[in-house]
Amino acid sequence: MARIMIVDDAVTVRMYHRELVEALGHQVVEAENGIEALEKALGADWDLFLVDINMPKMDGYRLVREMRAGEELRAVPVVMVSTEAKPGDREQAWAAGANHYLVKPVRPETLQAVVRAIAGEAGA
Amino acid sequence: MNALLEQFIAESRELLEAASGRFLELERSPDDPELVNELFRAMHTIKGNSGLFDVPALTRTVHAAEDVLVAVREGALRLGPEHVDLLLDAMDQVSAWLDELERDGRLGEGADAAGEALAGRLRALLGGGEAAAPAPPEEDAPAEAGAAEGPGAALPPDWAVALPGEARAAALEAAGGTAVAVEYTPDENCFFAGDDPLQTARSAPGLVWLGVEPREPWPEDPEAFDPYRCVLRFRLLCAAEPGAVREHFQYAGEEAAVHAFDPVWLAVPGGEPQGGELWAEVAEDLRRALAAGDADALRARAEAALEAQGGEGWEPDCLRWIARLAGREGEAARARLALLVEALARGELPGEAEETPAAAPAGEASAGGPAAEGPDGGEGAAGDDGGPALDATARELLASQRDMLRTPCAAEVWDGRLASARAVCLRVAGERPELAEAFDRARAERDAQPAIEAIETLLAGEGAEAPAAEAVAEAAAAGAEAAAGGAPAAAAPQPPPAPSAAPAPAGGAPATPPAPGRGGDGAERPRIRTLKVDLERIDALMDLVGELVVAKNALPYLARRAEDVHGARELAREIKAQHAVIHRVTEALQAAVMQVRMIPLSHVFQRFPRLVRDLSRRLGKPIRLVVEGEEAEADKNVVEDLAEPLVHLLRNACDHRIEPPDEREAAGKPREGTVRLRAVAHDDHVVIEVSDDGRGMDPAVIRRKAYEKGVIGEQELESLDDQAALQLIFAPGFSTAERVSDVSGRGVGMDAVRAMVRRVGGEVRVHSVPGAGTTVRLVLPLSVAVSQVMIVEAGGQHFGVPVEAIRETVRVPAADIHRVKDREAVVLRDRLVPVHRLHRLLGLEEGERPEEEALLVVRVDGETAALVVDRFHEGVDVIQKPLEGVMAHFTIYAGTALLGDGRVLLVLNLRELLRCP
Repeated sequence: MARIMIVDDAVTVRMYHRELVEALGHQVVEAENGIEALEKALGADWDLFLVDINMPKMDGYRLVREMRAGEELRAVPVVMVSTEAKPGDREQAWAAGANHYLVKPVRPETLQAVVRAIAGEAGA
Repeated sequence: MNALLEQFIAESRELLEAASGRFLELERSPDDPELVNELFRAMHTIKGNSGLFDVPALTRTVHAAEDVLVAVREGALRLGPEHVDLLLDAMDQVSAWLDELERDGRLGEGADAAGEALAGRLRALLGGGEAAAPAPPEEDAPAEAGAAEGPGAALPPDWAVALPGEARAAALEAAGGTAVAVEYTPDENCFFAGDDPLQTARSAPGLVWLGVEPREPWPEDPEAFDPYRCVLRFRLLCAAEPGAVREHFQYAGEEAAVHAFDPVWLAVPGGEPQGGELWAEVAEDLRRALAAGDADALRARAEAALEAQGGEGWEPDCLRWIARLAGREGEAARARLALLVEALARGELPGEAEETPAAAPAGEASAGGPAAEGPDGGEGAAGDDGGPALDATARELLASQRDMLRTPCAAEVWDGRLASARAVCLRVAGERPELAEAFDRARAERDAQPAIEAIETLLAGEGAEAPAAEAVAEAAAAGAEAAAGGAPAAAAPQPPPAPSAAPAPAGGAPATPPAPGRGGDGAERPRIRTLKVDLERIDALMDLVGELVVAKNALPYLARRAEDVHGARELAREIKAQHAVIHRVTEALQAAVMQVRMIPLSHVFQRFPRLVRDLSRRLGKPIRLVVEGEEAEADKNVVEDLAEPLVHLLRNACDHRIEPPDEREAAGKPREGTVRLRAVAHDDHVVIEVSDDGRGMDPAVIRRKAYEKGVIGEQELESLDDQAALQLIFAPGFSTAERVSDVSGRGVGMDAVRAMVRRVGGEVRVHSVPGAGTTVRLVLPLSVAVSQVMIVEAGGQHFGVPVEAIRETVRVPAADIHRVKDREAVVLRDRLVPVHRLHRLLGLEEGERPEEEALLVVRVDGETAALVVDRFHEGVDVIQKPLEGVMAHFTIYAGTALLGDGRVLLVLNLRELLRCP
């Protein structure tokens, strides 16, 4: 069972992602923004972060930069899941240090395939 | 998914509620950036959420509102009262839609038209003052219009050009500046998601032509045909705005490749060329008309020639296209006409080879998507030493790592970025030494190049990346978003939009239906019946209840002190009476809070039909799953923890216990196996059974296997009864499976199942009749909160023992405890019960041996045992907390509990404790 953080300010999206991730047998922790994610993340081991971009207080880019520049979370894989698909958004995600980029609404199979590839599937 | 829809409605309502207030504030202080930001985020969130549901009208409207707010944020638009009116109208409409959605599960009839009109009016705000002409609502997205013009863009896909002439002609005629070709390849499992791809295709906007064909030739053997899989491909030609088509296929994601192109490219003649001087003369005639710019003359001549020369063949087809194109506006049309006239003269389309539309017309518009991956990475087979074969997702992820590492970044994130890419690559591609080495080298040299090259090699070695389809889908998706997003078009790598396409301000869209008023019909507003409460708040409430329980526990102490210390017996009695009242209320309160946390088991059950169906197919055995009682409820944590063990159990039943169909038939059973998942709720626990009508389990076989594997000793081999022997399947390292299959693995499952069930305080038992089937029964507590423990004393310390395990407390003369070999035992009610001394099990000092021993008789896993303790104390309600940190390894303790007088009590885990020698 992997531990996966879902960071998004939309409850509905968190719920949707949580269901998909938990269906793979993983443990999910939710955060509403970057700051909350960092607070909740410290002191535990993480297999994957699913991160929205546009969030109050600390957005997704900032969060990934903080993770990469810090010590504890620097190597934790991050998949950006965002409504943004403007040109340049991917580049910004890459520059911040995100490992993958998905555009909302993500198809269930797509999200699960990515989670499975990075964090495996528990109970398989 | 219903829960998800509910969540969406609740969250959207909340956001709308807040937004309405904010819009009014914005009217007063239009320059407050924080207000605009907040509103933008609200619209953005609703829009993003709505994408999960089939509510295009709502998505469209909120999207338009979001774009208006972007314009306000960027200073391109200053909101006046009339703008705010419109935005509020839009919010009211969205709110009304949410009500419809809640009531009917979908939007009403007129939603699409209303959404289009509202979105059009909102987008009209963006046009600014100068463009005065009212724009038809479908031209509402500025970035979309004219996308087909400009160099390089906009060639139709091959298959579209190869369509029957009539279909292409119809598209040419119906389409304005842009036609859209869609290749829609639905997911094979889409039927299970409730999708109807044919309906989706049929209802595409402006549909001119629809073709349905199998992706692969139909299987020759009809047995191999699976009617539950969608193996079709849909190809569509639409005469509609690309934005509308993309929006229509928004939910299909990458399954729908949407190509927008200028329909003149469809003008490709077909048939066999006849050749001959005659056609050159006709062509010369046409060329003159073309040069004169006389469209009518051109058409007339082409039609006359067509009449004179008859209708079949390549040249007449050429003439037909010329007649259709004549008089058409636009540079591309004129160029195409010239080309066709030239073709008529030559008997072939000039430069046909190059002209053939590329497979990926919009490839260059890909927003940072994976570039085409040639086999030029060298070392063709470098990737196949070890790691698993790479699937499409793995390849995409690897490509992302490469793209990320190629993108420049700030120095402080460099190390972390490389480390994370390394982690992802090794997870995705397996432990490949050369990959790890490359990353190490990159880190040492502080240059990502070696890592990038290693990923390239890996991608190249695993075969071509199938670049075209991916790039197209991605570009299409990116394009759709960028276009629909109304993002500043200058940033898009697409050709700049024609300036004339800018939408117009309000005043147009006269067909707008009246928006629901925002004051008058307030009475019809449905009352709030459900509250969405953050789980954390409920947990906080639960904690408070826990503290109350503990505080309540202090009252008996107080009563005793009143009596013993102060001699106030009367007061003590009153306190006790009060304690009884508080106790009752606390219990009710606790039950009420617990009730809030209850969710139906359907949350986990609903995914199992699919699981069993997949297993059935994979194993080649027909299996039916019957689900009963999924409406039973349990605590959220219990339900969530249930998913994994149930998956194990269902897998085991399907894989190991249901026989292959032939074997079943031979045994006189129906060929189709049945697996039953049944839940029954009781007062304080829920029973879940997974049963099958398979081959059952033979206790003798299990006994022997367990002995062979060292799970039981020789003595148990003889003594274990059949029921007890069956339970051995839950022992670590036990498996009766003859072979290891890819479905349920090696039998670590049942062990894990028991561990997981016990973690939430449940128990699992198996019952089986050889030849007739097996039932695994989970008994789970409804919640995991307050428990009753009895306090006992051993070695001078206090410990808690869960009350449900206690059978009785007895005192026996010390002499009645006999030594049997190196163990002790006592005869209670004519039965020999093993005796354990608690202080010894816990490694504590032994006190003086009294003449009479206090025995706590407990029953664990069906076994009775007696614990020698120093003294019994009272029973108390406690909130048990699991041990944390280093203490978590002490499995002989189930947890800690706070007592009324402030002491911390260690609660014993009897199961683990009695396992100690």
